[in-house]
Amino acid sequence: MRFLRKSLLGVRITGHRTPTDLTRAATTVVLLSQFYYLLIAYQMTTSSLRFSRAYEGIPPTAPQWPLKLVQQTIGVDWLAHTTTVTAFGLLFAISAAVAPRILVWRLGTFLYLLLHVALRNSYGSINHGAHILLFVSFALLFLPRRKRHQPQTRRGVLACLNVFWLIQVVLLLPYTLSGFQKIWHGGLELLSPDALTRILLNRLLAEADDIPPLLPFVSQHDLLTYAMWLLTIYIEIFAILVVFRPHLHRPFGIVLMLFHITSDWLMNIAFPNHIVLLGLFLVFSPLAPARLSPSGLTQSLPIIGIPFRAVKRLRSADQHRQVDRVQLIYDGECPLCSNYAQFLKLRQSVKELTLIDARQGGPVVEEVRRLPHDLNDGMVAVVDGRYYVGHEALNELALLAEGRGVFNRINRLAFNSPVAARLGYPWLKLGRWLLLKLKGVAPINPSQLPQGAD
Amino acid sequence: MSAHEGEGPRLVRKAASTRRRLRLTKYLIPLFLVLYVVMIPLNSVVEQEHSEVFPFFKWRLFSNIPDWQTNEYALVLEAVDGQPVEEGHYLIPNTEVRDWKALRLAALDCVRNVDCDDTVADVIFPLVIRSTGHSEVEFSIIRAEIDLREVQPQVDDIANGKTAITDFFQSESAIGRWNTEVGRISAPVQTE
Repeated sequence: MRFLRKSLLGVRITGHRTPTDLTRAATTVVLLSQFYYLLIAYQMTTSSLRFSRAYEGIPPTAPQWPLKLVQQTIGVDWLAHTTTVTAFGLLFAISAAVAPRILVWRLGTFLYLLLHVALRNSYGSINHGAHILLFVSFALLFLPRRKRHQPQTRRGVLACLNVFWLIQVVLLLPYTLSGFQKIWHGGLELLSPDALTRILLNRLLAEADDIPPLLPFVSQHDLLTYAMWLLTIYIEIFAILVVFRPHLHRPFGIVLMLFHITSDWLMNIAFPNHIVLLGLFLVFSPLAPARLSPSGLTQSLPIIGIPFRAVKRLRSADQHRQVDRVQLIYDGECPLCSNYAQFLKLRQSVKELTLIDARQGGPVVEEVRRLPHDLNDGMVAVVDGRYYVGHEALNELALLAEGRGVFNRINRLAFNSPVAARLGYPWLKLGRWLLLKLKGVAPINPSQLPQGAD
Repeated sequence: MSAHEGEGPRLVRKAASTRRRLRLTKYLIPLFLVLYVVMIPLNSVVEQEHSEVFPFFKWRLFSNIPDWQTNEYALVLEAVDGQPVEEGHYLIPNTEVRDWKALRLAALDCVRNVDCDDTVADVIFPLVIRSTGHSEVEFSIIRAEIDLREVQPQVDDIANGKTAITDFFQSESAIGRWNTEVGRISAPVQTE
């Protein structure tokens, strides 16, 4: 969770966020959930989620565990009343779309989907097309309750963001698992230039009566299939990392949607639910930057982005940029942190440095608390309104430190590399924890801070 | 009593509920990740009746890369209502993919000698009766070798209906012959 929360504050590639931005993002998450329930209601009225599509006219021949539970408690005769069951499901889904904050509606929709998907897979064969709806509905059960005109609390915002991250994990994890399964089972064959050609031709044997439209063209161009195969492996393996990199939400969402459309046109394998959900929760991600930044995108790309990030770091280390205001929020009860704050001297180009003891509270601490960051996870540096947390704060302050004095020289030498700061910061955190234990002081308890506990 | 007097305890309860939910959602992501990944190897241990524990998908889709030289199973009609049909009348793979999958599963059971006749009777008989519209059908399940290199330049012709997949069948071997009314009518062939 810490990595996820930091992904929002990792300013180097993300751009900075204010508490207002995050409150807005939480509101958008609720709005997206409304669209989601509308989609479910639509599918219940049209075809695929109608209960009659799951019930094959006879009791389940190979019941999945939810059906076994139902069978043991209330029997399965009522499953035949498909229209009534669909009507109940529709009632719940429409109500959840109108009032998504009320748990009963979301729970009702989830139970309907659980029964529908379980029943559909209880006749001997497995179809995974609707599993994703089940998982997303499960994640949405944890949306916090709030009345229409009530303001968002910090906990409410965080709970909404946690639910949103869970949905993204649910959506993207299967791609990564699929990628790793390919590595596990394919081995070195995975790198074979004709791997995809063979898969496509083998699939053609099953689709002889309905050849997919793109297959005749693509199967004749080995270079094209090889490029498509390598791209598939890349996006599948690294898909889960997209959750942590907001710059990739929209581009990866679009690429994955195209991936599904292409699979349909090449292999007749359609995942329409995935396409819509990728659109909702990745392309319309409230955590993605408002504008597509090519540099942010390239730096965020897994593996490919490493050299771009290194160049960016080198450049920013060389630059003596003008900084007006630095605020450092640290733990005043920790001797290590206090000494660090007291000895820290920034360059003359930095006009103002304010040291703030997190335990004393105050408006800046309150502002930081509204961000998805636990003050016990690390110090926070606010540099001209941008938030740096933990090792990133350590690195940023080392870059801004003046080169005079033993402490500041050591600080600059040790932590002006982001890698060194990343490796060194956990040891400093451990030092803080030990010192607090020795002093008999408890960690910072956000709910007991002088101001703004909710 | 004024409307605001009962608000205090209610707000405290609500704050506690939000706090509990936040704490829960905090652990949900790591829990979900661990559970999903752990369920992949555990699937076949925990679940005997199905191929995976509902709703955890193994995501093995297209993880096996086939060789150029591959096997294909087919269902050949031999007689309908006691009347022999023309030679080489393939019911599968000329039907939809769902039937192809069912045949493949049944054929694999027969190749492994696991509940072959039961699977054919449960899965293939209804399929054959539905597709032909007759209740007494005699059919064979065969296994054929296919060289995908030969298929590759002909994909356009297959798409246009000029060539059938069965035209690429090499060295066919029979897995068994059945009649939908009397069951198996030929001894099982030991393939592997």
